[in-house]
Amino acid sequence: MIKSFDEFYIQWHITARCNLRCSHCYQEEYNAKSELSLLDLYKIADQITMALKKWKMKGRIALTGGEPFLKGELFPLIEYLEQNENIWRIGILTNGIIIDQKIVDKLKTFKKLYYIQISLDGAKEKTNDFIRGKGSFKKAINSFRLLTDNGIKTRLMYTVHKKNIQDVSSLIDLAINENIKTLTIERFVPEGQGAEFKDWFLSKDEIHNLFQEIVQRAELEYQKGTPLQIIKYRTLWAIINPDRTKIPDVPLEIDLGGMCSIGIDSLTILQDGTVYPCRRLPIPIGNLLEDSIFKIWYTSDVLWKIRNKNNLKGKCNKCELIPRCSGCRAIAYAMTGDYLSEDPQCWK
Amino acid sequence: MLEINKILQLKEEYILFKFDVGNGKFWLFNIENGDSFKLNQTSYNMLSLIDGKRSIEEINKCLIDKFSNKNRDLILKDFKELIKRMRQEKIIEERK
Repeated sequence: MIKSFDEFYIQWHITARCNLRCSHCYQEEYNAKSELSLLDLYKIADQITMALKKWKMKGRIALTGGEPFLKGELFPLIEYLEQNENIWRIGILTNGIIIDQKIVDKLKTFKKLYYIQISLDGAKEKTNDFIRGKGSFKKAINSFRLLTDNGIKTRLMYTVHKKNIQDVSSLIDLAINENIKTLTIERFVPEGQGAEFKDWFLSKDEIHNLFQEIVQRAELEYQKGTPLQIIKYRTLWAIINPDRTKIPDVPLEIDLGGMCSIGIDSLTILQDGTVYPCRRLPIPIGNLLEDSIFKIWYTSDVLWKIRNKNNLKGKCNKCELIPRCSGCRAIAYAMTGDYLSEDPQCWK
Repeated sequence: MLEINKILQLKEEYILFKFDVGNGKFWLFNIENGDSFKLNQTSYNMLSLIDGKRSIEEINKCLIDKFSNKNRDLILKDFKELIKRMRQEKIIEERK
């Protein structure tokens, strides 16, 4: 095994169907034609299980879509995954539109369900609904409250670009006020439907200023003992304070930077079994109904090229922060067509 | 006893891989059950010659050509041992 961590992350898009059409979405199609039966989903789950066992790793599986609650096989699949001792955490990534008490009651029966992540793209209804559709803000907020009231941990996913960057500070307030446990602010990757909106892509300076502002706020909230965790162990964050990366055992709340996980400890599976290195890097590297997970992991040219950091181009190639960054390969691909090129939003 | 006219090959579930970083890292992967073996460069080079086309005798000649007289006996001995082990582990087989 090539990696040294003990958790492997699988993002599994079990359906392409969705009840929203968010402007910046990375999907291109939303139909059910290539979706798998429960039996085929079980076959893929067995492949995941086999790999985790072989690699002696714990699996964290995030089930998503499209909108995962639209797929009737979601709950039986979770029940199946829960039986596997190598899978220790399951998450669901949703838009929060159709979550009701009946769904919540079912969710409460799962022992390994660790969190429900809901996407919002504005701290204000106007900003969010412009991007995600009318009424989506109120429904998402109601779902956060329903889940929290029922003792289920929630996460908030925010995809930041020119149309919602102004809301970030208020979004942190919202997350704190709604007792959301984790906030992830992800950079917009203009692909799929979102490819039409390349002009929403933030400049280096905008990203730099934004990340600096978020780090300052996160450290302040950490000192105050606010339970919200703002995820910053991703690419580019290390540049804000390179010295921080040298301190061992920094609490996650104030930790900065993380190497892109492609080829190290993560994979993405689509609704038809196709495997991508990452959902935001739409290059098929196999299909789990036709190829073994080992064949994909050990022989994919794309994975090997990305694993070898000497292949990175431009300023990423010689950067001393590679172990805590290495740039977003998906953004490089979306903006330049070359997933090995330097991260176009790096301000260093 | 090694029959030098035999032609051997890696079983189809095994692949050899060279990772071009530093001086190179060398692996043998089983893509069915996920087994992986880290190799040194010499073992990698030897296994690369077991390609289902060359006989053991031909591979021996290749190795002799590649290495100086000084190392020749040692290399041939290592190759013989590698084949023995790979056969025991069912990693290589006679060409069908």
